Amino acid sequence: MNRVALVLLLTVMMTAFLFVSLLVGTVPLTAGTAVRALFGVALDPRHVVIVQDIRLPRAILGAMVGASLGLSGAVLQGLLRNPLAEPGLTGTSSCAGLGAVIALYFGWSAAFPLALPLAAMGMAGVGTLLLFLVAGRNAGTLTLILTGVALSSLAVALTSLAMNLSPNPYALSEMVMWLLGSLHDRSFVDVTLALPFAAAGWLILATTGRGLDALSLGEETAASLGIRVQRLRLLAIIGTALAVGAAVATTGSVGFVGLVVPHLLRPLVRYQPSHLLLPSALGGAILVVLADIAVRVIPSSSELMLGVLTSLVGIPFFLALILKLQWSER
Amino acid sequence: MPARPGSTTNGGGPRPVLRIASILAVVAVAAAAKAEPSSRPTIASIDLCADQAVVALADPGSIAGLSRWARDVNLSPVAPVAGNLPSLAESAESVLMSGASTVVADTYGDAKTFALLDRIGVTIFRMPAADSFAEVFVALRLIARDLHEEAKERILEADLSTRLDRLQASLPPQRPRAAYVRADGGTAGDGTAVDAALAAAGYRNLATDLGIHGWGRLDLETLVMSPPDVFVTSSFSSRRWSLHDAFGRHPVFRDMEARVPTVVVPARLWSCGGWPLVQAAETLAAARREPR
Amino acid sequence: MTILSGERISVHRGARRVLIDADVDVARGELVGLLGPNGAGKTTLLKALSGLLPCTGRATFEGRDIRAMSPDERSRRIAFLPQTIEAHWPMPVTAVVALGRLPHRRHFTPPAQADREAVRNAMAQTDVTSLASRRLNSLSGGELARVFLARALAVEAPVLLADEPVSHLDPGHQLAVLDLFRQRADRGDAVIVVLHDLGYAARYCHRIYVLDQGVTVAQGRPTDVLSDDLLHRVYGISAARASHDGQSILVPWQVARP
Repeated sequence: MNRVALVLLLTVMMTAFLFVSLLVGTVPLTAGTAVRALFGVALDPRHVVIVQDIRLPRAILGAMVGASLGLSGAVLQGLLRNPLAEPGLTGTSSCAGLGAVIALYFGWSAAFPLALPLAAMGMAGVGTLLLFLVAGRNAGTLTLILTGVALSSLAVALTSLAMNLSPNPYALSEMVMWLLGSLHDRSFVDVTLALPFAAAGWLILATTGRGLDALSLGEETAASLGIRVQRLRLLAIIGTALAVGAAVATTGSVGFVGLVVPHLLRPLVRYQPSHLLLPSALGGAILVVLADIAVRVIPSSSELMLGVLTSLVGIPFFLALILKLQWSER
Repeated sequence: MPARPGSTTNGGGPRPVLRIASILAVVAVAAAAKAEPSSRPTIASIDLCADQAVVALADPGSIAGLSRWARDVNLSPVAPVAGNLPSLAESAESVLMSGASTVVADTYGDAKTFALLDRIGVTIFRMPAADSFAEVFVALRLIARDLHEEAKERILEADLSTRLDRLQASLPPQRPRAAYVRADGGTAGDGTAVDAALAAAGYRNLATDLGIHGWGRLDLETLVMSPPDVFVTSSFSSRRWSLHDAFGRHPVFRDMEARVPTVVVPARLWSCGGWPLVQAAETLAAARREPR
Repeated sequence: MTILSGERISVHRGARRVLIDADVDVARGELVGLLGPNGAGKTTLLKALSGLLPCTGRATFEGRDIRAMSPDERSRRIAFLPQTIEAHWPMPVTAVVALGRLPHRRHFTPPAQADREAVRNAMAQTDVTSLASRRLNSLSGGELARVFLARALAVEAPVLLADEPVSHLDPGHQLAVLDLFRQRADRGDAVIVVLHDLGYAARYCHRIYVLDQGVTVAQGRPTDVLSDDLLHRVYGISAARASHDGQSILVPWQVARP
């Protein structure tokens, strides 16, 4: 498929699902009412509040989170040259969650509101850096996954410790929220908190495309083509930390988006890493917005966690991918 | 929570202490009237809800210790007197060291702890949860019977009933709609202590109107469509920001909160279904009389 | 005119010295061969000359130290073709060859006419035009080798460093590629190739260097260097010699008795 056509198609799909997201909620609204409410001309001012202030920020934040996860998944896979790399599996998301929890429960975010996303991004960066140091260049699948599991487990354990140390009666259910993610009751406050950092991350990640293409031929060839491989790694780490950190700080950790989306789209861009970046961002946005629609549509006593749905899709996918890779490595 | 335009708050300050002091005074008089020097078994409480019953009913000299939450001013209505008493953990070891031969606990708690205590020979009384005033009295009576303090209980119950009757009598005819909210959007519907107190104070409970039974969640969109006349909150002012409290941070909720009067009922009055619930109802009723 | 030169290039791997004081140069119009047994340091020397390995000594391009150049500048002047083929994603052949144009392309700019022409030429020279839309994972070893050579040729750099470029090819393509290198040299480029085949080295290279265990043991014209004595010393073999069409032929013949 033509690159431009693919991007256009994904953009149209994303817009469509964003619109559908505005139609979903506890209060039933017709499409017509929703559109009118979106532009502030609905008959009932309460509908305007619901669409503009409750559903719209939720949809936008969902798209932002999905874009961050999809894009960073594509970059990590290109950088590590392994289709199993993604922020959840590499432990980046868990580390971001740890950073956020530390900022929350030790009161830094009360003193200084930006402390929360900054801490999340900082820890995400540390986690990704550790991943590189341990799994390193050309890491095989096994090393990569094991390192990611180790980092993830460490981050979760430290998060749980931090919660134990804080006098919070809701600690356990908060853990669940951090580990599985939720867009429930998010507002434009969350959007404006995350957007600058996420956007900065996206911009930085976008510049890695050229280097990732060269890297697909190996590090030496890439270096001989003028790519500064160390700098590429650093850009990828910083960009991922910013984008994923900002996403996790507002929503918790939503897994497998960065795994599924690039993998599905890669054949459509003929496996070229730089061509995968923008489509993965759009695809990630679509996936998370869809999951968020499903979470509100599926009847249950309390709202399902977002990460549950992405895991239900992502884990079978992950297992199938492992099998496929094992089979081809033979 | 700082005062906001259009909000009312409870009296706070000395009133709760006066209430407890008055109850203890009543109880002390009754105990003096009996004046039996017989050795009572020493009594310990290891749960927050049990603390209230034990302090209200047991002879002060026979209390071996209270739960570790007893001194928490936010959670425990007996905090003022808890300072003088040992603080116990929820473990068999702790109870043993306190020298108690009787333990009062609520219906939850680690079964293993109780099994162990039982094997050691400690008597355990479980206090049933109370979600209405009737159940509060039932629980008090049960514990009073276990502790052989029926007389005290009758005095206490009489006092509480009188206050409830006075409350009912003083209510204006309108029944405004109240929404009890926690920072995470949680609410209390039909069949909760909160609901009972709201009803006693002459409010309609928005959660019950929405069909919520027991503890549930208020949905922000639903709240926008059916705004309450009054918000009732307990421990909103958690200075810690948390993912959980997205509801309480949402600008839509904040706007509503600014426009709608809020009554604050300290969490300690209804964190358990116990005798302080009456004071919760009184606080709610008082708020209706105060000028907006 | 010497275009690329290395003076006293030494490389250490841990405590071991894998390359010791190598002095190498290549001029425009020259095809230089690097020969030697396995582990002699040929690949190491080539990488050091490309600026891909840290080394002591100096490597200069037209007199300028290559370490003083930015990676961009270096990549436009020196094209490097590694020995092992790494292809992590099954991209189409055209896209792979087009990667050779990266040194000439800025971020986010579409390929120019010059880029497309360079790719076409490179693919024609290596006879992979018919494979243009095939995926890498559907190619044979020889086809892959030619595609990756095309990638290196597409850079159109004045210096080409190739590490065993013909090892995986069938005889027809071996000759075609070596002819191609010789043509490039004749056109004014400089080429250094690592070769195992003594016969090809003797026939195609203007000059050769022979390395053994990190040390340069001989350098000069193939006919001068590849004496029986050297072959015996370095490779432990004796060779058969003949001539054909006025050119000398060298064929490894027998393992020398110790």
